[in-house]
Formats: sequence, C-alpha cells, structure tokens
Amino acid sequence: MRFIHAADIHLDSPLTGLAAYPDAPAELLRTATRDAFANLVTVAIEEKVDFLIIAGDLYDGSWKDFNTGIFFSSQMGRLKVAGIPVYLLYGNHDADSEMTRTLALPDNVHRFPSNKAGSFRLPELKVVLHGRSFKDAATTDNLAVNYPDPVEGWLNIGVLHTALEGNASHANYAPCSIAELEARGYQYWALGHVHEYKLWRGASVIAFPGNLQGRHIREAGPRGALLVSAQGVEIGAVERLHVDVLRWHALEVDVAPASNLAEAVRLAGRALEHLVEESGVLPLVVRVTLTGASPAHGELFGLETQVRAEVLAHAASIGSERLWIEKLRLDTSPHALAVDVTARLDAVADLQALLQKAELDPVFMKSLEEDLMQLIGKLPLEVIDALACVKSVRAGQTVDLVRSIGPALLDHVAKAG
Amino acid sequence: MRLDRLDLIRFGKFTSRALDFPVAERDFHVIVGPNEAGKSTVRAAILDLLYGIPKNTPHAFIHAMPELRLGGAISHDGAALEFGRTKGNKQTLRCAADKVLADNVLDAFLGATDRDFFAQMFGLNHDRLVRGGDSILSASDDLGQVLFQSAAGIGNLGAVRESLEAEADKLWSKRKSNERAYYVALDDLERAKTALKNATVRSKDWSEAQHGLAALDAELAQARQDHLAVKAHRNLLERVRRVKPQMDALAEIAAAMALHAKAPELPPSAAATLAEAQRDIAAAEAGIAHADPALRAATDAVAAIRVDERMRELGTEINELNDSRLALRAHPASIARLQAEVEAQWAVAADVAAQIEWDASSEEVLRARVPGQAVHAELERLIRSHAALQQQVTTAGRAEKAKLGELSRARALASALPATEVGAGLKVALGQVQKLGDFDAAQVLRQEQVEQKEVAASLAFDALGAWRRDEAALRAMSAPSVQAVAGFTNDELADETQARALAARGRSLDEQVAQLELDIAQFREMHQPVSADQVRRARGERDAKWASLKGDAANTDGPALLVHAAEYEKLVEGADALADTRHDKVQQGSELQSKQQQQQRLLLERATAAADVARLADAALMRDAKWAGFARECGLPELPYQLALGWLDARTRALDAAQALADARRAHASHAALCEAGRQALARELRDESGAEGGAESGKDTLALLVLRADAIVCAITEASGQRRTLARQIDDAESALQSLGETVASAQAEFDHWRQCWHATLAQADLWPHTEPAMVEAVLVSVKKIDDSLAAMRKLRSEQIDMMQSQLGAQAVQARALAERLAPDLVDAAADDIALELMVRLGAANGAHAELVRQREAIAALETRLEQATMRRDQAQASLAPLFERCGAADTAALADAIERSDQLRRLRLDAAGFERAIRDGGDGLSIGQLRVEADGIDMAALKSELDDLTGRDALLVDTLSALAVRRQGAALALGLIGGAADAARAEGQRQEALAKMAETVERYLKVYVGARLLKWSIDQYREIKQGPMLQLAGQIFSGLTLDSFERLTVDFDSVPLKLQGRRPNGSTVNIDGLSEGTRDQLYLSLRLAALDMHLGQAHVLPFIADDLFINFDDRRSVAGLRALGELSRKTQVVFLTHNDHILPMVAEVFGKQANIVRL
Repeated sequence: MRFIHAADIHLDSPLTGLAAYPDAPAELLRTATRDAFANLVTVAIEEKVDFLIIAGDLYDGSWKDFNTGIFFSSQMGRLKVAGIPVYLLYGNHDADSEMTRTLALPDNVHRFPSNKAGSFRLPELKVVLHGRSFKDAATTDNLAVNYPDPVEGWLNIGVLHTALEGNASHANYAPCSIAELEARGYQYWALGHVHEYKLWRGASVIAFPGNLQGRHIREAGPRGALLVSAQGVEIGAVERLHVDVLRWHALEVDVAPASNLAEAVRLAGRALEHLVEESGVLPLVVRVTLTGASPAHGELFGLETQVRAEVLAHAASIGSERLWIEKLRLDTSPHALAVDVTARLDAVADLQALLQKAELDPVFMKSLEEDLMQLIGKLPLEVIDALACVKSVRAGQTVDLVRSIGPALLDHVAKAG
Repeated sequence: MRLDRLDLIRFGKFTSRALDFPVAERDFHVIVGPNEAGKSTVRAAILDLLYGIPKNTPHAFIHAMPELRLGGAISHDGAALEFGRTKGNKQTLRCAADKVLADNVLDAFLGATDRDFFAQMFGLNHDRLVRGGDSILSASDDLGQVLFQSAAGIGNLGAVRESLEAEADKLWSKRKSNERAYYVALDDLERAKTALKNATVRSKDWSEAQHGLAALDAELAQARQDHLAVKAHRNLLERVRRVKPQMDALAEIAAAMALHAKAPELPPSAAATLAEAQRDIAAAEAGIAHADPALRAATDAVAAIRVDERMRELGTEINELNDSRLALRAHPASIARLQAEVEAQWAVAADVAAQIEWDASSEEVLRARVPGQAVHAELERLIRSHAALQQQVTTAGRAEKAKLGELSRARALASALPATEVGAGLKVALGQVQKLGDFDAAQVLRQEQVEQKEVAASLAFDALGAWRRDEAALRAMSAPSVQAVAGFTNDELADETQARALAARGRSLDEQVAQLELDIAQFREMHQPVSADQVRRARGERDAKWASLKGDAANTDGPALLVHAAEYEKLVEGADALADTRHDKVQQGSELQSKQQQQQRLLLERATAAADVARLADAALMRDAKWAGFARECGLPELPYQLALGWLDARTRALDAAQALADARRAHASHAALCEAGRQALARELRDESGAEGGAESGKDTLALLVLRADAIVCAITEASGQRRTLARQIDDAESALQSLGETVASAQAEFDHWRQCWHATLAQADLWPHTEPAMVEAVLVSVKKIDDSLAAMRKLRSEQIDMMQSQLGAQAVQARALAERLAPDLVDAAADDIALELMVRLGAANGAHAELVRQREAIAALETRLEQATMRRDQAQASLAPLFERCGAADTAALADAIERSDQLRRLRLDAAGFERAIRDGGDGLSIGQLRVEADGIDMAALKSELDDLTGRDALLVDTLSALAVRRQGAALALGLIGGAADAARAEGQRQEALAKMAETVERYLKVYVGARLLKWSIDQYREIKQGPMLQLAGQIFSGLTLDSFERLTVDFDSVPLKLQGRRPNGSTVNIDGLSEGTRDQLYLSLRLAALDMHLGQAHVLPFIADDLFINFDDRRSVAGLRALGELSRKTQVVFLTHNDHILPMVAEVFGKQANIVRL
C-alpha cells in the first residue's frame, strides 16, 4: 500500500521578491505553484498510489480568485478518473478562504470535519485516517489531544495542521508535541504547516513534507511531497517526491580575492556556472550575494547597477532558461588594509573620521530624514515590509543607514583617484 | 621611512644594477636618464619592492616572471632592514641570506599604508599634475572639493558625487517621469493591480452566476409551455378557416354529378381522336387529287431523253488529255529559245579554239581535242612547283660559295697571328705590385701623416707645462685619479655654494632680526603690554609690603600705620591695575611674546649660520693641505687641484699623441719596403721575358716604369691568344657548314630533275609540244578551260531541257490520236490540241443529258410515294373512330361528338371532387374529413378572424419573451463558463509581485546612492571648514614661490556660495581658478599637494616622495622654484626626482649644491 502525503500547496500563491528583467521567464514563474501541483497529481496517477493526503493550506488565505478552486477541482477530477481518493484537511490559510466553503468538489475528495476530529475508513486496505480541519485561522488549541483512539489491527494515519512544539518560523497554530502525537498510538502522522521537510521515526512516523513549491528565497532547496509505503500496520519507506518546477538557491560568492569589479563579476560568473553544473536540469532562481573583505568593496558600491547588469548578462550566457537571478546583494566589507585607513592620517582618513561624525550632526540627520521620508511616505506597505532599511528610517533610525553606507562610500572615494 | 638603496637584481631591462640613496641634510635624489633608460621601471621597482610585484607585471620581458627579483635597504627611526623581493602571492620577502622573511616584516617601516595609498599620496608625475590641475578647474566652484582632491590626490571626487546624484535622480525624484525607475515600476504595479482586479473571480460571483443560470432555465421552460398552448389553438382555427370552403364546394359537386349519371363512359381522349381523324381524312383526299397528273407528265419526259454513255465512260481520259494540253502549250517556244543558246555557246568555243589553232570543224572534233581533267590538274601542279624548285637550286649554290670564301679568309688570318704566352712569374710579380694601389701617392700620404703626428705630439707635451715629462716618465708615473680630483673640486664647489647660501641667509636673518626689533619696539610703544614678570614684580612688592606691615604691626603707631596702609593700598591698586591691564592686553602680550620668541629663533639661526660659515672655511684649509700632500706623492708638486683635472686630461692627450706618432712611422716604413720588393721582382721577370739585352736597363728603372712595361707585354700577349682561339672556332664552324651546304645543293638539283621528267611526260599526254615552257602552257590551259566550259553548257542545255520538252510533246500527240480513234474517228488526223478541245465539248453534252434523266426519274418516285401515303392515312383515320362508334352506338360523327361531350362533363365533376378532397386532407393536419366537419361545426366562422388575430398577438409576445430569455441564459452560461480555472489572476498577481520587487530594488539602491551623495557633500564641507585655514596658508606660500611671486597668497571668496578659491596678486587683485593659465593651475595643484603632504608628514608615517618629470611644462625659473619647493619637502622626507632632461641638472646644482645625489641610468 502506498499513499502520498502533501501539504502547504498554497495554490496560485505568487513568487515574491523577483524583479523581472528582460530575459527572465516571467510566464513560468507566475504559474509555478499550479504547475507543481499538476506534477504531483501526475505522479500520483503514474505511481498508482492508493490515496492522497493533503494536510492543510491548500490555498493562500488572502487569495480570492475562485479560478484557483476550479483548477483544484479539475485536478481532483483527474484523480477521480484514476480511481484515487483524496483526504483533504483544511489548515489556517484554508479556514480564511471563502473558496473552502463554496467550492463543490468531486466525490473522490473527502474533507475532514472542522467541528471535531473525524475518521475515514478504507476497509479494503484496512487503513483509517483521522483528522480535523481548522474552523478558524487562529486555531491555537491543541487539536491532537481529541483525536479518536486508534483502530486496532488497522493502519492508523493522523492528519494534522500544526506548528508542532512552536516552530519559530511559523505561527504557533494547533501546537502539540511529538510525545503527544506518539501517545495517540497511530502509525503515521501526516502533518502540515511547517514548510520545511522533517521526519521523525519513533513510536510513530511523523512527517512534514514541506511545501510543494518554493516561492521566495527563504524557501530555497528542493520541494515536494512524500511517497509513503506501508505493509500492514508497518510504515516502510518514506521517499521525497520533488515536484517543484523551479528551485530557489541562495548563492554566496566570496569576492575577497577580487581587486576590482570585473574580477568580482568573474568570480560570481564562475560560481553560477558551478552551481548550474551541479544542480541538474531543473531551472534555478538564484539570489547572488557577494561577500568578503574585498579591495573592490568601494567600486562595487558605486557601480552596483553595473554589477547587477553584468551578473545578469553572465547568467544569460549560461542559459536564461535554466538560470534566473532573483537579486544581487552586496554584502562585502572593506579590504583589511582599507579598514586601517585611520592610521594613514591623510585626507581619506580625515574623510573617514568625518563620515563617522555625520550621524552626530542633528541638523544634517534631520534634513536627510526629511528628504528620505518624501519617498518612503509614498511607498506601498509591501515594499516597506520588504526593506529593513526603509523600516529603520520610518522608525527614526536613519543612523543605521548612514553607518552602513559610510565605509563603502569611503572605499569608493579612495579608489576613485 | 627612507629608501637607502634599490637593487635591480632581475627586473625589467636591468640586471644587477644598484642605486644608492645616501642620507643628506636635504634628502633629495635625482635619477636622470634619456627616454627608454628605465626611469618608469625604477619608479615601479620602488613600489614593487615595498608592496610586492603585481601578478601581471609588465617588467618580465627580459627576465622570466619567476626570476624577477628586487632588493634594497630601508630605514626608519633608527631601524634598518636589507631585504629582497621575489614574485609570488605570499612569502615574497627574503633576507640577505635569501631566507624567507615574514610578510609583515615591513609593517614597522611602511605603517598602515598600501600600494595605492603610497602611489597616490607620495607619487606625482606630469600626467597626474596636469589631471590635478584639470580637476581643480572642474571643481573650481567648490573650495571643499578642491582642497580634498588636492590633499588626497584624488581627481574624481566630483565625478563620484555627481554619479551618485545622477543615479539617485534616475531612480527617484519628487517629479514623476517615465525615465525614473521608481515610476516605471509604479506604473507596472498599477497595471498589474488593474489586471488582477479584472481577472479575480470571487466565490460570491461564482455562486451568483450559478444561481442566475438556474433561474433563467426555469423561466425559459415555462415560457416555452405557454407558447405551445397558444400555438395549438391557433393551429385549430387556422385549419378550420383553411378547409371549410373546400368542404362546401365538395358538397355542390356531388349534387351536379347526380345529374349526369347516364352519360356514356368514353375515354378522355375521345374528343381529340374524333377531331384528329376528321382532319387526317380531309388532308389525304386532297393529296391524292394533286399527285396523279404530275406523275403522268414526268413519265413522258423520261421517255424523250438520249445519253452518249461511251463518251461518258472515257471522260477521265478526255479530261487528262485536256490537262496535258494546257500544261505543254508553251513548250515549242521554249525549245526554240534553248536552241539559240546552244548555238551561242558553240560560237564561243569555236572562237577560242581558233585562237590556239585547234581544229573546230565540228563539235565532236573539238571535244576530242580538249585534254582530260587529270592531265589538266597535273599540268597546273607542275607549273606551281617549277619556280620554287628552281629557286631552291640557285640559293643552295650561292650559300655554298659564300661559306667557301669565309673559310679561306679565316685560315689566312690565323696563319698570320704570333704564337707566344705570358710567363707566370711576370704575372705574379705584376699582381703583387698592383695590390699596393697608387703606391707613390700612398708613400707621400704616409710621410705627411708622420710629420703631422710629430707636430701634434710636440704640442701635446708642451701642454703639460711645468709638469712636462718624457713619454716613458709620463707612462710610469702614478697620476691622481679623476674621481679623486673630482672629489676635491666637488667638495669645494659644494662648500662655496653652501657658503654663498649661508651668507645670503645671514643677511636675510640680519634683516629679519632688525625688522623684528623694530616691530617689537613699535609694538611696545603702541600697546604698552604688561608682562607676567611685571605683574609678578608688582605683586611681590605688594606682598612684601603686607608682610612688612604684619611683621611691624605691633611696633607701628597709628599714623605710621596709616601711611604704610596707604602705601600698601597703592601697591595693591598698582598690582591689580597691572593684572587688569595684562588681562585686557593678554592678546597683545601674547603677540609680543611670540615676536620675542621669533626674534630669539632668528638670532639663534643667525648664530648657527655664522658657525656654518666658519666650519666651511676650516674645511677649505684642510682640503688644500690634504691635496698638497697628495700631489707630492704623485710627483706633481705645486699642482693645484683646480688644475689637476686639466693636467690629467693633457697627460692623456700627450700619451695618445705619442702613440699615434709611433703608429704612423711604422706604417710609413712598412709601405716603403713593400714597394722596393715589388720593383726588384718585376725587374727580374722582365729580364727573363725579354732576354739579356734588356736586363741591365730593367734593373735601374723605377717601379712605375717597370709596371707600365710589364702591363703592356701582358696585355699584347693576352689579346693575341684570344684572337687565335676565336679564329680556330670560326674555321671549325665554316668547315662543318660547308659540308652541310653541299648536301643541300645536291638534294635541290635532284628534285628539279625529277620535275623535268614529269613535265615532259604530261605535255605528251596533253598532246602539247614537248618543249613548251610552263608559262605558255599556263596560257593554253586558260583557253582550254573556256572551250571546255562552253561545250559543257551546250551539253547541259540539250540533255536537261530541249530533249525533255520534245519527249513530252510526242507523248501528248500519241494520247490524242488514240482517243480520237476510239470516240471520234473524224478527228484522227487533227492536231493533238484540236482533238482535245473537241472531245471536251462532246463530253459536256453527254453529261448534261444524263443529269436531266436522273432528275425526272427521282420526281416520279416521289409522286408515287406521296399518293400511297395519302391513301393509307385516310384509311387509318377512319379505323380510329370505329371503337368510339361501337361504345356509344352513334350512327355518325355528329352523334359521336355529342356523346363525347356528355362523357367529358361527368369526368370533370369527378376530378373537381377529388381536388377538393385532396385540399381538405392537405390542410386538415392529418384529421379525417369527418373529424374536420366536427371541428368546423363548433366554430363561429364570423368570429374566427378576430380570434386568430388575438392568438397571433399572444404568440408574438411569447416568441419575444423566449428570445430574450435565451439571450440572457447564454450570457449567464458564458459568465459561468469563464470561471474555468484560468490562471489570469495568478499571472496578474505575479506581475504585481514583480513590480513590487522592482520597486523595492529601486528604493534600496536609491537610499544608498542618495545618502552616499549627501554624506559626501556634508563631509567635504566639514573638511573645508577644518583644513581651509592652515592648508591655504601653507599652500599660498608655496604657490607664491612657484609663481615667482606673481601671486602673493591664496584667499577665499567668502561672498560666493559655495566658497571659491582665489589667488591674490601683490597688488591686491584676485584671480579665480578658472582665470588661471593652465600652467599656473598645475602649479596651484602642486602647491596644494605639497602643502597637504607637508601637513600629513607632520602627523603621520613618513614615506619617500617620488616625483617623476614634474616640470616638463615649467620654464627654467619656475623649474628652479619647483626644485626649491621640493627641497623644502626633502628636509622632512626623502625625495626621489626622476627626469629625462640633463638640462635640469644645473638647476639642481643651483638649488642643492653638492647635497643632491645624482644617479644616471
């Protein structure tokens, strides 16, 4: 007996942080979560699994377009034709979604109730699935404690959307502990909510499959679902099914050896080529971060736009259909000798001292803050949330920005001669 | 740190070259060398030695990269280090023992500097000077930028700030623009939001669409049902209205049929049958009446016609005869014309035959006389070859005769030549002498050279003056070295220069001291400042008075105390007044103190200068004494060292002249010996050549005469020998040619004899006289050709034309006679043409009779057929009526016609009834007539129309309703269908996120560049405020010097915003930077750089200053001023000055005296 355990599909959830550029394959990016889900359904049909479990967060809570539901329904229709039942549990995002209440689904889709834990029995497989959907998004009760007792002699699968012992990076919904789950006496816990893959093999096999498709740089690496095999009441292999259509990767390039922009770009290009060679055939969305104490620090600061253009050109030369640059970040620092510029006691050292004193000039800082707020006051909230520097200026902490720019500016000026 | 030595071990073009930079009071070193000498390499080597050899160094063109090696010695604060530098990434430092040194071993010497900083701060060349001048021009409206750029050696500060500002402006500004990235992204965001809004389908929308469709389906079903009911009732009324008239008509027909119940049943065609039979009978009878008489007339005419069948049978032959007649009718005339042409040809042939006296009595005789074609052709071939063969024989004979003559002449010349050869000894002797060239002139020249060298040597030895010695003594003595002498003279020169400078300095210091004393006196007089000593003294007096008062209080009475108290108060007031005055005039006091301290410094400097002058005088005396001893040791007592260099030079020249004289004398003697040996050898050889009689004479002759004689003999013998060889070769060639020419003559004669035999034989065949010449035969052949042509033409006219025509005419006469014998014996004797004409006439008559007979017979047959058909038609018409008569029993055609009329009436009624029944069935919607009658009975026909109109109106309304509902349903279904799971909204959201990301990216960069630009501007303003005073004061002094006091100092235009830098002239006028000449701007930049460096050196780690060809655009005076400025710098740090120009060296000597270390590359 084999089944697929998926969760956190977030259908039609957009990929964020990607500024399109001329060679970027924007069309592929925009339907990635759909394509990944269609891949999952195709795999389920090809593998002839016995059933599919979706452990919550099928939709994005704030997503309103009913077409998403229709698309999901059509994919369920494909599984119905293949004779594969689906056991669907709603999570915090689904509880917020109006589609959850409105959408009519094919009769091979079985939804777990939200008022109390319910069970579905599959007598021919001697499998019973227990689960309870979220009624409200903000479900912070421990739902697992009220799950039914296991059916003796059957394979008991618990389906639950939970933060599991307060996962720091996710909202603390339906918290519970591994010990509590194991105490239920089920053989397998199909969990959802945490977007990273995790597996515990103890008294029970407990698993988060992770989300189906990475949507931003914080969801880097391979994504997909789990293909679970069972023999009687014993859980066997748990394999990862990578159904994502493109993969995020955070690439750090140490440009410390680069003495100028061209060499830094060359190092970044080599790192990209190496990454593509290693990654296989799946397209990559890469955030390139240049790091290291580099003599090129100042030049990179002054010519950041050119650096980005040259790295993009390099990526295009590798293959625009395989490699897209999400962002180029400069996280370099001044070269070791340049750090000691103070000891030189020349005009540049004087400039360094002055730059450090700028934050102490209240008139200058106030004027600068007023100027910056002319732009920041008009920004959409999503842009403000995406930029820590903007948030700090809004919070009256312009000094952070000034401090972060000073050293790079100094290096830029010192190398400009 | 200073560089004590630079070792160019393997670097660039250098190998094992060391440059020393010894310590001096003014640490100034000049490296001079022409272009390509390696100055740039030296500059790079200093950088590479201190900071490492770069990865891609251009200095590996002789030595390979791994072999590059530098070394040197540096010192700093008493510490010194000797080290080497190899090429590599790390561990490139080596100690003297070539062991690896730690990479940080130089840190103590170099401080916190790197290569870029050193190059930027401590390096200046002409290009950077010019660029610096340009940079302060471009920043001339911003004093802060000018100062910073000059101090940091950075030319692009303005460009950096401007590029940051420009980039910020491209990203965002308050003013919206499609060129700014932020607004582009904002527009994308708005478009995406609109697209998202349009594409998003909410759950509520989907539910409403689904419910709306269901409601429309129900409404549509009800409307369709109502429409069906109205339509059914309307159909019933329409049916009744349709069939009711037909049913009424059917009833009326049924009544009429009853009246004709007894009418006979005749076929429907009976009336037509009767009419047709009656028409046929009438027509047949008329035809029979017309045909009978015509048949009879035709039969009579046939009997009267006679036809000549025999004539008609031979009609073809008659026509052929007539055709032949027409074709041959011109033949007789043609035959006569051709016969005349034959006669004319014969006349021509006979005439030509008579000219060559041939017999032309008949054509046959003449034709037999003409030779055959083969003979004719052979004669022509022989005539053509005759002249060539004859010419060939003649030419060969002439050539043979000429060659015989040539052979005789050559043999005669050869026998007349002498038969002698030149002796080998004479040749060798002559050759040896000729190698000496113009030996007499050379001898004279060498003698002159010896004399010249003697004079030169005498002069050179005279130049040694009082210290003259002979050559051997000169060579043997140990003269002082040039370096040693130069050391004395250089020291003296340097001391004199320094002494002059010290004297000038002393005068200047005296002036300054006097001026300062005057200033102090005037200052005291003007401000009367109170010194601290004065206050201290006053307070001491006050305190002493008080102590005195206190000590004597017990012993002092009241009045005395009052006096003392008054005195004490006076002292207190005096001390306080002095203190207040000092407080009020503290500034003046300070200034006075400053002037006094300055005065003391000047006095100290003057004393130091005086001590230096005395030290220099002592040094001169010591130097003179040292030299005197040294000169004595060299054997040159009393020779001043000032003259020593000249004497050493004269000694060298004298020794060179003596050597040259000896060389000249040796050359002269060697040449004379060679000439004499040659003369004797020639004389001996000429004696052998000419015999004993010329020997005595030859032994006395000069070398030149002997050479002439020998050369004449050798030339004569050599020439005769050549002529002999040439004649022998000519005789051989002539004999060989003569043999060949004889064979040619024989061959030509044989060919001509053969021709002659053929000629006689052919003449015989042509029946011509055997000795006729070819030219005559050629003329006869022309006439024979004419005769032959005429005879051929005659034969052709006869055979091809005349004979053929006569044959055709004969055949025609035979044919005509044969036809006449068969058809018209009366014409047998007539001419063929007449017979043909008559037979044609008779044939025409026979054919006409035959045609008439045929026509009449055809007319009879046609009349007989027509008569038979008319009879048959009449009988058939009568037979067709017989059945009708029999069925109705009529007696005649009239009764038959009546019966037919009644039968047709009954049949029409039946047809009408059937028609109405069919119409009722068609319009009755499938109901039977009975059912229709029942329906119709229930309907009020009078109200039928209005009821139908009403139903039609209701039907139309229902159709409109249905149509509208169908449209609405289609729209609702389409709307629902559009919600089909499309990804448009997802795509729009993707676009929205992309726009947000672009916006975030733009804002992030904007914040960086905007804040960067603002920070830079703020910092530069601050820099100006801090540095402006001291830097401008110092730079102004340097600038004044560099411009030779054309400018007094540098000032700031405080009225402009931002502040501007200006140069102030001695007359008080000011010049902005953009008003300065290019050269002056460069000097301003140099002033600012040197001032900044001076200030830097006052507080930071000292490194050598490398100046590379700085004064290319400076005139001499300004170059000297520039050197003075660098000289001041060299008091604080080492200065290495690279130049390609020797011209600068005297200036260096002027400024630095002997202190400057000059290194030549």
